[in-house]
Amino acid sequence: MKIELKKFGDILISRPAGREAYLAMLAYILKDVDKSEEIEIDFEGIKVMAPSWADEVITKVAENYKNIKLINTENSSVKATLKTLKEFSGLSLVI
Amino acid sequence: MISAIVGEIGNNSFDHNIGSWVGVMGIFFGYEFVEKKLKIVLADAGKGVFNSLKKVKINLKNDKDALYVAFNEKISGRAPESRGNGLKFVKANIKNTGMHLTFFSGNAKADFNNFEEIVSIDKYYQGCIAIINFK
Repeated sequence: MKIELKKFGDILISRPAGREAYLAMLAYILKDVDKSEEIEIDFEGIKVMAPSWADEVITKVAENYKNIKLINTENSSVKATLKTLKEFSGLSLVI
Repeated sequence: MISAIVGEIGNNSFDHNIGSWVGVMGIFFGYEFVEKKLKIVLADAGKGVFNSLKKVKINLKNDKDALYVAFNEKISGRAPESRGNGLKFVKANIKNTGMHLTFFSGNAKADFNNFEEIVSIDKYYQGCIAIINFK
């Protein structure tokens, strides 16, 4: 299962937007996906990511699926956001 | 990175004042280039950092302490929601990218770039004002 974040926009900022994205993700992408299945989260095409948005999406996906792979995380705001989530939201994914 | 930092600060104004705006609802946002330096200003007339945090950290004494906590501890005025990483992100990346942030709330002022200084001031600012300078 691959989640292409660019399908939610290329500027991913704010908790309300993140919450909406996660709810849509649950309904249309993650519905019926087994908890043990590998989830590949693809950051390709993301111009800006802030931790508020990511905390509502990445942290929650990581809480529910244990086999997660993050790819194309080179963007500086993506890197910084993932670092913040590791430090302050307990995100334990290997980047 | 500038967009992410500005987005975090601006989003905070709405997240922490929704339903309880003290002054005019919304934020002021402006930017200009002065001598090849970018200056960005965000301001709101909300309740301010101290009033947001004192309900969840009852031993907070003043605006200065509130700014220290907001930029250094994982805490949010919207507890029990699990959040409170935004201003830590802002502080870390202001430092890493060579920007300068001056942040006012109540009777306190915080300055960040490769140093951190939080002081009490005589002037009172309702809500929050953030001024970012970037070469």
